[in-house]
Amino acid sequence: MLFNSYEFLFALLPLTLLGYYVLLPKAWRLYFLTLISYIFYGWWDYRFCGLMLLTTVINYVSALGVAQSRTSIGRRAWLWFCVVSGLAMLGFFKYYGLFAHTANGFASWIMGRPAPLLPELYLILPIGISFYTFHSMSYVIDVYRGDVQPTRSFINFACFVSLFTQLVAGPIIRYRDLAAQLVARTHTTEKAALGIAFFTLGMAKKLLLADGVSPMVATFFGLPHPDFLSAWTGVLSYTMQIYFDFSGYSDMAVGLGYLFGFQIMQNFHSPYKAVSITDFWRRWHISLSTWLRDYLYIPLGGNRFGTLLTYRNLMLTMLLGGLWHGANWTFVIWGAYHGFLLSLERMTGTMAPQKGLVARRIVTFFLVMIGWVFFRAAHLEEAHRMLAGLVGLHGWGDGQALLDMAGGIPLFVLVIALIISWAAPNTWQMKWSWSWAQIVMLVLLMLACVGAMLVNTSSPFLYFQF
Amino acid sequence: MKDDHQLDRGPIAEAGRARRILLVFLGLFVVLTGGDWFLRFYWFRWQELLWIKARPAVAQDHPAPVGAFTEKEISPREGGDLSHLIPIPKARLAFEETHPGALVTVDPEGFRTPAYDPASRFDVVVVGDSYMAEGLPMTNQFSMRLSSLLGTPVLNRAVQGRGPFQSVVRLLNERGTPERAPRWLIWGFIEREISGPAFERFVKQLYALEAENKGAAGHDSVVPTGIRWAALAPFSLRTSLPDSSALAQASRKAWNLIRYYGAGQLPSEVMVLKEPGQAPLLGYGEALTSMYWSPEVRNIPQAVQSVVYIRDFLAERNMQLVVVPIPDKEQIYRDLIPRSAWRGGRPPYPSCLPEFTAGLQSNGVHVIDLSTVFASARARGEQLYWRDDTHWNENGIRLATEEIARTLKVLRTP
Repeated sequence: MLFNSYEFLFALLPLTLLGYYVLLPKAWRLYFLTLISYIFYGWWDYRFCGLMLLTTVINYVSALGVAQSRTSIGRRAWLWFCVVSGLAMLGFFKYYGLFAHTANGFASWIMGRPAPLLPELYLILPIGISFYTFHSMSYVIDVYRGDVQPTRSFINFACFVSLFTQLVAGPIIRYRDLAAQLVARTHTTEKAALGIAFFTLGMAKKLLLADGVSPMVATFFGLPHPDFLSAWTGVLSYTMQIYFDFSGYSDMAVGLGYLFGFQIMQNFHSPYKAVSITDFWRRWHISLSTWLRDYLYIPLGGNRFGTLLTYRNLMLTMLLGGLWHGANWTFVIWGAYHGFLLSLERMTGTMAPQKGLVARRIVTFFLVMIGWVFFRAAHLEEAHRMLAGLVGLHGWGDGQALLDMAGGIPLFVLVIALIISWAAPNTWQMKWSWSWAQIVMLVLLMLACVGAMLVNTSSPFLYFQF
Repeated sequence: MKDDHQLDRGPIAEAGRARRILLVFLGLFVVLTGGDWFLRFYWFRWQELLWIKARPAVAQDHPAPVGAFTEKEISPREGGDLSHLIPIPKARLAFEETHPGALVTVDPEGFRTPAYDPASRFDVVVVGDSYMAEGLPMTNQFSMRLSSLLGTPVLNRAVQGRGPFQSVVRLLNERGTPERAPRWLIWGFIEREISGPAFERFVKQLYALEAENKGAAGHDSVVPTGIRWAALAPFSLRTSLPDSSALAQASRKAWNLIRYYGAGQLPSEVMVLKEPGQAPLLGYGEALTSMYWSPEVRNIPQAVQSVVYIRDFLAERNMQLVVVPIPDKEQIYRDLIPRSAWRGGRPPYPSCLPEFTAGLQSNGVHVIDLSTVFASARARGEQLYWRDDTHWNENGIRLATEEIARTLKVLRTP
């Protein structure tokens, strides 16, 4: 189930709010939220609820094991049990296919004939597995480090892992940020009002902006020989789509959290206003970048062991960060590309420039856009086609043909999206006075979003005309 | 990074005003959610899928009284189902045709058919979707045309609605017993309804029925229950809730108005198929969507096996099945689909009918291949579908009934 779906907006959410605030006693609220979260998750495929429950049990038990072990070997054993089991499940469902395909391809190349070393299984990827695996692993690691006390309440932990507000698309929250809120949180009118504002703005970003440009992305990335104009329009569109889609969903997650009394971290901070790639990674998918920093980069040594090792650690972190996004070599290349740029900035001392910020912002935006070509491309060949188009190897293109292919409305939405991403304040920077003007704006936005959602998810009923 | 979050400045001053937005949105959602659900059950026919369950055959000494045959006046109208999806009257004009009216006879079951003795048995019955019920005046109606070509009465049991299965279920309920079952069941449905998963779901219901009645004496029959929605399965609800939302339909209308007056574009539900030198045709957006189902998603082999099962199910009840897959208008005119309508920058998949037909033939199912006949007719410049409607016109009906009659005459010959 998605937040921007009829079933969620007009069935599950109203029922959840009704149950949470009206029907059920306060002591039952966490149980209720956990149940709703499993229904939310299971709506996509109920079979994978068992996998999430298994992850929850393993990490809950591991954290208690770490805390109760008297020897460092015992503590480490529990930690490794948690990490290995989590990565094994994630690795199997997400990466086995890529691994098998690559191994078989390599073997065939060596042998000069088809040589299937490993069976290529067509596994369904459990939705959100990357997120809830990282959620729960970070908890056990924090317990091991002594940063947080393990919880004895299974329901608290189960609710933390499965909480539907951030289950399928983040932000990746740490247990320590939520621990106190699971036990006692306030439900105020202002929190609820902020929740509505965040949820509405998030929906608008996703449904009006991201979905508004998405037809152009599909069209131009699917061209066999994209010309200059088409390639740049396609890449620009994807740059806007991925930002507004992801940050919109994060805003909706934050908004829903507020509705139930939770305060969830900010995940995006105007990333396209970044003045360097280093700055970009402090603004983009903040929950992931800080997770990688705390659980990968720093344990590898960070920048504490000399320049070369720093670059190695940066590259490794970004390579694995790229791979986390998906089982495709294009994601690895994207990660390596950013790792290279981060290392280059460190080498040249341009991580946090103070002068020429406008020019730096433009250059950073351009560099990020190039990276998105690999992120979006289904395979390396598609990335190569787009890159060739970007430099004009397939010709320069024709404005009228571009307009015919793109359509007037998506191009208009693209321009609006660009202006908003560069010039407007982000959701977290907005000041809410709850004036009637703001309320009317939010109501109109919500109606537009509901309309857009229903138009995109419904079919016209040919036999029903009213 | 500075955290500009509102909460850090304290919520107390804003609490009173924050209540406003809560009340406004609460009121908005109560109206939208409550109203939509109310309209769904009160006004909008949700699903055309039916539950079927076994009902042991009961000997009836006194057949239930039947209603009378009635005459109904169908008024002529301008425009078809596709042109009516265009909410702007002046935009519709370029495509509209005049659809004739007629006086029709409606039997007690609600089907358009000449009067007949309710106790009689028909050798040939037509079932299927609205294409099989199409045709005005009555002499042009599919079953009537077939009847005149075969020289034998043909009963119309095709439902003027969507989906291939409902009418089969109704027929089994009405005439599923040996005394009343037709010898030949002509089952027609449009190409975009063909998919393995859809046919498989119907077959599962028939299979459950058969399993329940295994070993029971006499023949079973099936009845629709009062529940008009499928199991509480996420997939079914996912596909049905937005489609049966009055809000969704209102949103589509509003968006279509904005598209037209803002950008001069017709609704995405339709597309214009323009042949040089000819009046433009309207194509159906949803049909185009089905043309982008990959072979794996469409799963024709599964659909074929399902039809084989249905054939066997009917054969056990002494009914011979003849399948009539009807080509999509959008496939017959696929070369006219504008590039701007392409999804993801690539053309739609070719028609699934050759694979479907070949699969049925190799399993010994009687099937009428209309794609070749229709493609040839189109090449000769014949218009086989209404310009402003998804359905075939009298040319299409004529061609199809001639093909079926030709085949049936051979099959019926002892």
